Amino acid sequence: MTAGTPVRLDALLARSARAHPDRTALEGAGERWTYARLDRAVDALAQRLLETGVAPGDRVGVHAPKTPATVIALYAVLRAGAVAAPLDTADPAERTARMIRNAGLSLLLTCDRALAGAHRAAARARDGVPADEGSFEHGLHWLRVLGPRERPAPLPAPTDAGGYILFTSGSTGWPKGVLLSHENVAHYALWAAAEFGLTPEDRIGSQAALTFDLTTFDLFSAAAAGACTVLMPDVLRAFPRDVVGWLAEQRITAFMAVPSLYHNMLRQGGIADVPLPDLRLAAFGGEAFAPEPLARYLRLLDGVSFYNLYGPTETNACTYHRVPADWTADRELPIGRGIGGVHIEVLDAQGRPTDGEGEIHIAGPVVFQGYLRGGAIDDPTVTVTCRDGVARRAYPSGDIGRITRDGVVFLRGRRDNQVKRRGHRIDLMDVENAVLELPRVAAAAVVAKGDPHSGQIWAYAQTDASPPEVLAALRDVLPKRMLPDRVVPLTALPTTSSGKVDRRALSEAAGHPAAPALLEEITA
Amino acid sequence: MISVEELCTLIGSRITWGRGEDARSLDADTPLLEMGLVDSLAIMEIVTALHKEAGIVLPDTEIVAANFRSPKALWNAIENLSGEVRK
Repeated sequence: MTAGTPVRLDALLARSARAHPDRTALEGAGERWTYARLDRAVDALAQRLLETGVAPGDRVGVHAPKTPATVIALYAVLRAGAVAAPLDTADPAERTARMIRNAGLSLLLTCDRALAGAHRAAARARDGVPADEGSFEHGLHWLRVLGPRERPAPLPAPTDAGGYILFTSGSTGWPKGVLLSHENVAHYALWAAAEFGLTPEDRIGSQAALTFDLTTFDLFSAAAAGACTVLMPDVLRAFPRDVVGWLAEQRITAFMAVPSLYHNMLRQGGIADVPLPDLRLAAFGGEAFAPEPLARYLRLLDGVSFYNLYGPTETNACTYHRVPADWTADRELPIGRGIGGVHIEVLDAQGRPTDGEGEIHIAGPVVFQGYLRGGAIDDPTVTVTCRDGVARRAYPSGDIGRITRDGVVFLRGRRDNQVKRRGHRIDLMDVENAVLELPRVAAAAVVAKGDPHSGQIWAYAQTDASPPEVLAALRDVLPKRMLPDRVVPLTALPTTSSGKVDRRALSEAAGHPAAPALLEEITA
Repeated sequence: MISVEELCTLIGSRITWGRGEDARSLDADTPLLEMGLVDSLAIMEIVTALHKEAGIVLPDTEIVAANFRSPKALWNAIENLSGEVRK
């Protein structure tokens, strides 16, 4: 790769197909695909997509569970010069329809098993008008969501030549499409392949959903190195013991997951009793690893490299820290320093570099192009003058942190209403909007609870509907992970002296003496 | 002891149903995982409820996908538990 020529994600696959045609590129659903065969299948499907009317820069949703056919579909969209948007088949149709509209997807690719759900989502996105459809090889189907005349305005370079869309929870109740260029993703994928020393001997265990940014490593770093991506069946994800067994059986050498899964594999999955002689790399990201379990892992999996990765979907992973083998739970774990080519800056409220706490800003080739809203790009990046005096385009992450003189970053919290659940980012306003949109709700506030319900999301609503009715209605519009843990009907929401909803009182209600009235309603 | 029907009721009460769906649609052969009806949270709630409501302790080694494929699969797993682990 020469500097100056941005790398295409599908070119990583093509290059490995030339270098290692007979090596296994992909395993899953009982199938095994060599690099040469995978690359040919991608070429053929890309051709079919073009014949079906897909043009470079079009946005194509891939609404299918994680199988080799789905990976072929993603790569084929990329090779056709279009923008690939993985979608979660478990999301409610209404949510998927909002993604389709916001990102301006013109075609959906789906499979037999997910076809009914794709029909529902497409119909909602088209106000009930059925979509044209047809089928491809590998059990794939296409649905045309937007006709040639309904296409949104073309995307500006570089995404006019394709890219990747991942969705994130927004504050408006509409998932935001995070638009990444080939280079945004490839820069990270190539960095990770080099930093982790991936080789064609590696077997990369891919456990997360393809809608989750962790999986760009599983697919594209593997392709960069000529390694094998092993797809874990979706149904195992909720069972830590099955995940541990799968890691052992599949002889996985490199694995990336959210700390929640590592915690559960230790607590409940029996990882302490299962030898994993092939595992050499364990990376985690998306949330904080609890110190005690991490220290235990370091003792348990002696010789395995543990990496802490940090980065919002908007920037891929952009900082890294290799956990020292002798790390102990009493030491603070940093999110580390910027990956190659990435600048991290911490700015105070006035936008000046600070040695104290401030907002983490991220600059470099991993920073996304912007959000897709109503099919158009909205770029939230700002120009930041870094402490070296250079002005750079940077993404304000909303995360609060501190940076040391030698560039190591420590994470301190959030500036806004975002919370994390098993590595998934959830904007409380997204949930609140969903509650407010329900016909029988007059007012609502959704808060993250403090002790003793720490980690829970509760919805307080002024409504004549019962909590189960509210939850059932929310189930139609929100993914399961975003559902409130509890719905509390109130006759009126508490307000502060300035008349705003008193979110602090609600967060602390139950178990806080200052809110006895609320306590009564909750336990009633 | 718990019957398959009682187990269906217990599982159904731990699922957040959407509008137009309800727990009565659940039968012994409903593919819980394939249909995406239970996630990791629901699984832990089912395990806790089995303990609290039926006195059945499902050991960690039995909390695997094969046993949660359907209510019937879970019922079979419970039936196969040895006498010592069942309260």
